[in-house]
Amino acid sequence: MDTQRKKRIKKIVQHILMIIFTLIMLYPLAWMVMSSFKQSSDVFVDAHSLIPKVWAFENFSEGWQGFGGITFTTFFKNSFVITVISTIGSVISSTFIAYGFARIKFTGKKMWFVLMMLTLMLPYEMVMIPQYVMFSGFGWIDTYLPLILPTFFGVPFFIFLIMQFIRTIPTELDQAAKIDGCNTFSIFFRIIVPLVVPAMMTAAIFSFYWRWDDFMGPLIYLVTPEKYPVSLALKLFSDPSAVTNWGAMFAMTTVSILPVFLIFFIFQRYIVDGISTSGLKS
Amino acid sequence: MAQNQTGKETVVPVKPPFKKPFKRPKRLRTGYEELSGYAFISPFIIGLVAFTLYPIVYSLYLSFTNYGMGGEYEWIGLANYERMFTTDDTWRQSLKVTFLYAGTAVPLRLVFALMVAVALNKIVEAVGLYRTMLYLPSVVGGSIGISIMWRQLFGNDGAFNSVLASIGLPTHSWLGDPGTAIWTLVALYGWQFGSSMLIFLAGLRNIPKTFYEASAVDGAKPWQQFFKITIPLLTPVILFNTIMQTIQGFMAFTPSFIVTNGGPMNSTLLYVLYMYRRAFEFFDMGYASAMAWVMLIIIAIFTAVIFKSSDKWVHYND
Amino acid sequence: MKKKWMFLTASVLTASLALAACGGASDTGGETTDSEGGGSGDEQIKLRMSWWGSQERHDMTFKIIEMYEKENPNIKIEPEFTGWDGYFERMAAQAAGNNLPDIMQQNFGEYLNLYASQGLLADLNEFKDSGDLDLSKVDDSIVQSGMKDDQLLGIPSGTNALTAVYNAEMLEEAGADLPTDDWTWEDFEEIAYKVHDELDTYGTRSYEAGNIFEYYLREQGFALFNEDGTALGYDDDQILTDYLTRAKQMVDDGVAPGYDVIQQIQGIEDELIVHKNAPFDLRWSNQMKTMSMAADYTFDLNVLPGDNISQGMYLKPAMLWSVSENSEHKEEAVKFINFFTNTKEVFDTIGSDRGVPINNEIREEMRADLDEIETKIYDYIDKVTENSSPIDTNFPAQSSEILTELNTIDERVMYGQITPEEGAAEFRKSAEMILGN
Repeated sequence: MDTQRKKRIKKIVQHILMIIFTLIMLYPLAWMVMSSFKQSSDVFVDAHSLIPKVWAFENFSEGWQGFGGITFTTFFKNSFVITVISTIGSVISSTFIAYGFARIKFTGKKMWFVLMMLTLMLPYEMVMIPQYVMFSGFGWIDTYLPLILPTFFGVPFFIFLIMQFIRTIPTELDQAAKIDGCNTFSIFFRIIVPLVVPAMMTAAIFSFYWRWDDFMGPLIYLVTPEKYPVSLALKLFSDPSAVTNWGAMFAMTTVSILPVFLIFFIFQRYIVDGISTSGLKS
Repeated sequence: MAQNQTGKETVVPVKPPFKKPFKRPKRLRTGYEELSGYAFISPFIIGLVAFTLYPIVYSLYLSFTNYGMGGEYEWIGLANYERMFTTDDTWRQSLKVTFLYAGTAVPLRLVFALMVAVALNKIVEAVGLYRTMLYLPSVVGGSIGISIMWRQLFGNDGAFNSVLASIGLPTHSWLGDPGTAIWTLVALYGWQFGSSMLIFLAGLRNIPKTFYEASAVDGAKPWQQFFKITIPLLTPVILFNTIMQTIQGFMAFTPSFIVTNGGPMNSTLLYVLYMYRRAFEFFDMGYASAMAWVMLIIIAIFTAVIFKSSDKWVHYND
Repeated sequence: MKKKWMFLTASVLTASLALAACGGASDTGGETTDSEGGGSGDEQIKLRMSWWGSQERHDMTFKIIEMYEKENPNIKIEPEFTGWDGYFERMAAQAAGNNLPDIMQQNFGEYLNLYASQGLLADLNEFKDSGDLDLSKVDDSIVQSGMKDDQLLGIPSGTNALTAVYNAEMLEEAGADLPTDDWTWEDFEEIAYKVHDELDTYGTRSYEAGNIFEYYLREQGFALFNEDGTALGYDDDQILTDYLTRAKQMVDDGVAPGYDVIQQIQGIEDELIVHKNAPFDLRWSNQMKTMSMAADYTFDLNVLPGDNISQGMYLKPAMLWSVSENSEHKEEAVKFINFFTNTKEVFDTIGSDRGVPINNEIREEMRADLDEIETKIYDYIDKVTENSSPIDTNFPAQSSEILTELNTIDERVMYGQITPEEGAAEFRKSAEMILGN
């Protein structure tokens, strides 16, 4: 009885602390969301107050109208196309590659792994121009190919991530499966893949967000405004020497976070309620 | 110790997690294994050759030229590197700033993310909501909104100073003081801990419950379990996060680009920001490429050291 | 499981096939292969046109493009616009890929000169001679500002001038004199100090070193760079020392804000003068409209102070229209620029968003329906046109770096890290090193 109560109190305290912490963490974000309801002229004038003087809902409709008749409907559609395709591509290919690196012994493995890590260490801003010249040579400028296709060949960050997860899976499972007559491929599909679902989902969430947020890539590869994704469109509001429609910009920034928020909310279950390390039901 | 893990019964033999990784005797590799190994990593090799190799080699080549921006350029040998190491004070400053930044922001984010992940792992109700809320700061990324927000937060009459004033502490011009501006960026890096947190969470999820149950039977206290089970079994993920965050920390660019633009007095001039200026504002692409390669070597050394040390502290199951 | 596997193999296969297919298609010369709108049998010429700007500018420019396409059905203009962020990064990539748009909005100064020095811009002189480009109603000094080494590389989209913008109400409230056309730096400081004392606000916003120091040099008969842009254009470091000493004195006395305050400003709508925290600001005239709208108050414009104002003042292109050397339709591109420069409807649409029109007749016609602040800007530009000397165009490609250096030194002096003398000496040293190659 008493322990019951103790437990309850402990729980409540836990939650109170958690809520306070979350609120502190969310304050800056709340500021941004509330700014999207302020009139542009008030954004800086009453920057210190969260609640708008006047609720400017028209920020959303004005912002949504976009530029020169191209609305945010188009930008969102483009973002979804790029994001969804490249996320599927990068997660599947990265899992595949990660298994090869983590579980199979072959000559030159180390060298390939080191090469992969090295590709992570050059800032994209510097590889950007040579890469542009290359894709321009392919005739891929103003198409989605430069943004999507490379992801089908694995993304180092995800490869390494999934590798680390595969390596926490006891090899006894593989051994057992081998004895049952499975080859490498069936071990991969039957044992490894189900067990690394949480890691794959983590990768999917990251991939979705990174692609969604990627600005430099679309900036240089896409030139027709009808093809712009949201990340690029958000930057079209402002010019430091002219009038910036701050309210509309904040409104669209807020709206653009929603899909990421939803995707996360839906998929995060899988990270945590993934199939935990369960053995083979042999 | 409320474990919310709903995993099925596992039949994994319980090994004590702390055991010296034993060296497997070298087996002869079979042709089949060679082949399947390459089959699995083939997409990576194809992608590397097709999309990555040329730009990388090209940028290395450019680092030995005086390429400006389009137009003519010529081979100048090591001149770019020489200038960097001898006369470029700004380069030295940017390196200093970057070491300071990476050295503080990365541990901050890692510790923070781990603590929050462990706390979240204990909570049963509404955990998805908490997770989502805490991940949110990481998805506002490099938007213009965030720069305005952050400057507002640490501004002279910003929220942070109001809080300080209300509890009787002295306020300060955080962004205007060359000594403190960098710390606002470090705070920003710490604030966006969502991705590391998520990876830790996924890692915590992977720890078989049986370990905890077994040790609870032996009468282990929660904190003992944390240091004896959680941490050791999480080491592969800790290694991943440490390496990735180190790389990202050294290559951080957006925060100083949008919040402080390197100021005041270059006190927040991160390496990649300076490189970016060289390339796109001073039209000095060759030099910027050389800078990128120097950075690559620095990061590679750090990564190699972390990897090397990982033999000692990372526990794998393979 | 099997399905997944099939899908995977299929995707890897298709990807590698696509790759193989692309290997041979490397000779498109950077032409975007767009199959849209190719259905019409007419010889349709496509022109790519790029600009940076804000939401309003994009919308207005679209209208102008529509207007032009209606008049010239054989032309299809493909807009490629961005915000200010990223515009020149994209340009850098396109320059490297030899893939620049036919018509580009360009920035005066180091950008134009850099593109020029790399041979990326077409010389428009021949079109002036052929009559495709009519600059007969444009002042010579304005045309000059788009010239470099006798080549005509850009046509200003509109003009701009530095101005001392002020809040007359605040000055009156403080009982200070209003600025005049022949005021000196001492007069300026006197007013600033007075407002600071009376109203307990700042007396002026501290100014951006690059532009104002250049003006300071010009009014004393010097330029920032020498004739051929190989060295600084002044020999006596005392000039910079004086400039820095003046500025520092104001910051130390609290009359002008230090960098810690300046850093907090979140954009033009957040400036001190907009919030009535200072009566003065020295900046570009085309920003007055934005400022006035933000402050809901019509500011006044005055020439900058000094001993020889008309030598110091100059007109600057707000931005320029250039044609790329790699364009296959230079003549058509020029025709559009000509339309933009000499059509009143264009300016009815965009107002003074890209500066005050350079065509004298249009400028006069426009006056009829200007609002209060625009009228002031127009009057001001007229005044400066009468009382100014030509802009210096001898910016070396490194000028961007040198101006950054000047700002850093200004910052260090204001923070008290170095003295004005040291700052002036250090600036020379750095500038010579950057130029020394």
